[in-house]
Amino acid sequence: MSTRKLSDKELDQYFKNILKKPEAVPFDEAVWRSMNQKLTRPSARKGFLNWVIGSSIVLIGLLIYLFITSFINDSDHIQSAFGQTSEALADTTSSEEQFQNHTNLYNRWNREKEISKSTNSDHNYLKDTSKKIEIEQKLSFKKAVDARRKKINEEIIISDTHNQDTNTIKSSALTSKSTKENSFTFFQNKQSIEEKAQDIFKSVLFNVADDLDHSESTPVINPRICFTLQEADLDFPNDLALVSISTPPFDSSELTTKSRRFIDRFSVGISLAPDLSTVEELNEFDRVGLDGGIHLEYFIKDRLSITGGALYTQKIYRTSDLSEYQLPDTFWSNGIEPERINANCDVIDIPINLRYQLIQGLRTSAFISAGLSSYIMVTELYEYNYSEPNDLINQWYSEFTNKNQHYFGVYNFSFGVSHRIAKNISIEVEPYLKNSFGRVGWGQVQLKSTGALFHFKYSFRTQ
Amino acid sequence: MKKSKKLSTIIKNCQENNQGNERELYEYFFSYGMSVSLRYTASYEEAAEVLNDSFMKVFQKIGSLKKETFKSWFRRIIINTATDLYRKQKKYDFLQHEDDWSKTDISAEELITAQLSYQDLMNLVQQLTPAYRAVFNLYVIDGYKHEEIADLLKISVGSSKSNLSRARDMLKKMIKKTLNYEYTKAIG
Repeated sequence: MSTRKLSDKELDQYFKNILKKPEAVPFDEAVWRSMNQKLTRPSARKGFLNWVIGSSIVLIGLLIYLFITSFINDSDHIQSAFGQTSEALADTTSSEEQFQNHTNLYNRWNREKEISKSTNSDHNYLKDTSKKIEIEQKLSFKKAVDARRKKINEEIIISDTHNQDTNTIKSSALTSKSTKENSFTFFQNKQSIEEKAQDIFKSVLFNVADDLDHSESTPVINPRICFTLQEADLDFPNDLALVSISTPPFDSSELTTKSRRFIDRFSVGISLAPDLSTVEELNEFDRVGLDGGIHLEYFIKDRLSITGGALYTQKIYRTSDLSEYQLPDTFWSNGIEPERINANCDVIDIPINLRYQLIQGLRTSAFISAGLSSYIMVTELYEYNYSEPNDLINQWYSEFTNKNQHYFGVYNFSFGVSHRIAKNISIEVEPYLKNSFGRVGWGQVQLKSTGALFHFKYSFRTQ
Repeated sequence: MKKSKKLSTIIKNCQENNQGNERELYEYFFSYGMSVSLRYTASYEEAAEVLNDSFMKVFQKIGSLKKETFKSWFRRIIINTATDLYRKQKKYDFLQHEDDWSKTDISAEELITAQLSYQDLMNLVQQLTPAYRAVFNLYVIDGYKHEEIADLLKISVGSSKSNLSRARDMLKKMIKKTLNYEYTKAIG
């Protein structure tokens, strides 16, 4: 038997001959399933995005509808008030009757003012502490005098924590018993009064009054919250009407919360935010991600609320520090280190925060907020870049779908400003900072995010 | 003829982005793709990963396939995907095996005696280190030149040659081991 050494060529040929004619490898359904997952992933992602976009459109539509209807309701109030006034003015009586009525009214008014000054401590309090808004306005009352048949009294009552009974309709001091059928308009707050008074009742005289006449028979209306709107004093000289509204500095905490309906405590809205994420220092950002979703708010107390929602967020970051990106042992066991990792993750962020309003203004308020977020990692796309360039493939990608969920794994801080642009609509800007408690995602990173949320919000609050 | 006509239809459908044809193409080339992938990887799981990544590239870029035959194009994609995997394993491979080398000879008769099957040879190739396996496959089975291999793997031509030489020697050593094992088994 020959012991000739096998040449390299012979060895090569031996392997080539056999390996070039491979045995059939049976089709493996499990491998296909894995492949199919990769194939369907983009459409699943697209589908989810479509769902988010669709929901947002519906929500925006709803908000626009609510926005428009709130305006229509406002104008209904205006029309109603004007309508009642005009209707009343249209009924004419004889000049003698008018004169008598007007004289009675004027005298009564003056008498009540005097009584008010001398006897009512609330009124003194009002005088001492209130902010006076005096508007002098030339008004033509000739037509009103001629047309007048009965007094027009409008009583505006604000719900008050001090006196729940003020929710009931009351006759004012200046309203005689015979004119109880007069219309009453209720507004919700001081701001409404100021706005409506100026906009709607330009041709009438305001005067703060107590219901002194009825102090024994009906609960006293707190002068701070009761305004009697009366048609212009008909004998006022030179057609000049003094419009005077006196109120103490407005404190919305006086508004009752107890009387709110359950739904009044809610606000809904849509939110958008540019998002900057990093696993390194807070100035090491890659690109700006875009967040969008829905926002809910529930008022526990007047200043304290719980906010929540769901945001579809893009967490985009990069790092060259592999201590910040800890690949699981199972990923590759050969310890090769990429030079840089770029991550683009789609995450559903479900925050639950407590929000406290530090400053409450008529339209604008400022708040701080803190709470926890849950991150549902929908897709995680990682791009590994290697130091040695390769003309063919110099990057390696990994993509994972629905692999990682971190419930309450992130804490949030934010502050912001809210501005009411319509009766129930407000916009808010809320800069935030989010930081994970532990490491999140496939790369086990300490993810930090910052940005500014823009909320477009509808409040169900009606008073 | 019929089969090739069917293949062209499948490819055309895939090029037109008709969903549902991916599986047909996948099934059609699964065996071939796996046989190539298995040669370049150390395990079935790794081969499946390379295959699926290769198919992803196929489905994404099938529209650009024009003159080249699908099979050779597909093979090139698998090789590129596999060499990328090698590149990731390179550092580890070097550290693990740089000293694990010594010269071994076997005779032609011994090789014939061994009566190695396709599966046996595949197992031997899979036992090579990634660097040796890549160079051996590229040079011996797929017919690349050392310059091309060097360019592909980003190594020097000298490294390519030396890796090939070491790969051959490792294979001989493994064949010898197999023969000894068979002999020991035969004599009880």
